[in-house]
Amino acid sequence: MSSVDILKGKLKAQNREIWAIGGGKGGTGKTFLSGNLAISLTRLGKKVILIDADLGCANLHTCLGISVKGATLSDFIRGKVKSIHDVLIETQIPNLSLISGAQDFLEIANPKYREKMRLIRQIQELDFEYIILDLGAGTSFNILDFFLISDVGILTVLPEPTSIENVYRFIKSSFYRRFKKVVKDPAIKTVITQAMDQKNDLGIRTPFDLIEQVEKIDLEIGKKLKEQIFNFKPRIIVNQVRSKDDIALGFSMRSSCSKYFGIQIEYIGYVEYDDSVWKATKLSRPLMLEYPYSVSARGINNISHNLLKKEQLTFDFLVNG
Amino acid sequence: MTRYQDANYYELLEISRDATPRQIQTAYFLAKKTFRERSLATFSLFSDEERDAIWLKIEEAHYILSDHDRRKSYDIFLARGSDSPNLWEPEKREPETETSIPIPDSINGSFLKSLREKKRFSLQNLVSHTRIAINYLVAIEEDQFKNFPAEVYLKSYLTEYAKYLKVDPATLTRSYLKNYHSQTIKKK
Repeated sequence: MSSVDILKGKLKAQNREIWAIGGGKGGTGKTFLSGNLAISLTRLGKKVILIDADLGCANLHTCLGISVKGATLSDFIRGKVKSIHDVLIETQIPNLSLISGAQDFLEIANPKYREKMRLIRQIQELDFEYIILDLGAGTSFNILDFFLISDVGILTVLPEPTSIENVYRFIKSSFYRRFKKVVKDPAIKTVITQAMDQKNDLGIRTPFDLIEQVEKIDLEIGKKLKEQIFNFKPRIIVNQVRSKDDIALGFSMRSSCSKYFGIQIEYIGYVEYDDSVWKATKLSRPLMLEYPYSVSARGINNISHNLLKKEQLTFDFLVNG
Repeated sequence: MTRYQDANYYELLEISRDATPRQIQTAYFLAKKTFRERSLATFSLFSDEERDAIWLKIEEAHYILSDHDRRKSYDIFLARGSDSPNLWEPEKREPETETSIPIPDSINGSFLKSLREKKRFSLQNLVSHTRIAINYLVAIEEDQFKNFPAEVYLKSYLTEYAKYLKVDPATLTRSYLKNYHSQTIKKK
């Protein structure tokens, strides 16, 4: 590497962006999308690292067709290796590095607070343009925290009631957790905890109700929470789309979130249901390499373009598209 | 951060103040899709009552924004920052006691409109009870034939209309269609 390249790398490091991909329910394509979005970015000349943060059941490496021999994230969490760089693998895909997830150690799924903070700190210092975190299923605190430290939080949803319900739950859990982090007053903290239970005695159903309650206690904190909501912009991807109605679901969810939660989610794209996806998965080969011209690969490329340009789908798209 | 109850029509349909008629139309269809019964995107969040309330507000927004003049006066009201204009005010009065009104052999939209007004029903009453889109109700009452739905829908709308006004559905539909057909054939 020439000195110019090193300098470039340093400059870029300041512009690094962390993307976290979650979604609540299992089997909605979090790992699939993490891997393939990362490859799509490398095709645009970006330097990318994929981190398998699904601590309970990691398999991003399989999705990429890589067998893991060296150290993994579990060695880092357990403190067997000092630096996160020691568990980093250069993949055969140009510009793409990987930190593979825990393989064996069960307790790793719930690292201690100190371990988690060390991990987060070192992730934030990685020298890559894009750091992509593949999160596990569920809405545990660890998953929510990874989601909340990201610059871009992405949720994958399938056009099915169960998946949609879980995405809403994820959204709600993550911003209530965010609320709790900015609030110090124990009385308000209690209100937030109570509000998380849908059948609470305070009659709080939506964030609107919650903020109204908080404003009664402290107007300033209410304002602070409103700012938090304003700055919270999860992105959604609808996966396994089979009809125009499925595509429209992203818009409907965006609208529901704004009317119910008062938050603006961004609909950044969809991936069509396509046989090439399971064919590639069966071969343990990434879709972007095996079927780069398939409709689903095209969908993934569109999503990465939207993410890079900070754009989202608009209504007009439904008329013309 | 605005509750939907307090949102203006543009916020409700999630469009900008300078949205084109086409954008308004798309946003309206999408909003209807989102808040219809058993919609995937809303079922775990909103209760049926809330969804119905939003649905009605969407109809209201579309009624105002899809018409050039109504939209213009609404924009003036918004710019002034005053409360919403009475373009869509539900009538509070109870309908008059039953008087049977004879229905002629052939009737047009203005007959229906006067019948409705005699019974003291507002368009909003009709929309919320029959769930017929406001633009079709207006088209029916104003004989805007080019805006009509397919005839099979038109028939069922007229039936609903008649039922709500408590007149004989078969007679009303027959008489209305008679005029409609004679008008459209003449034009051809």
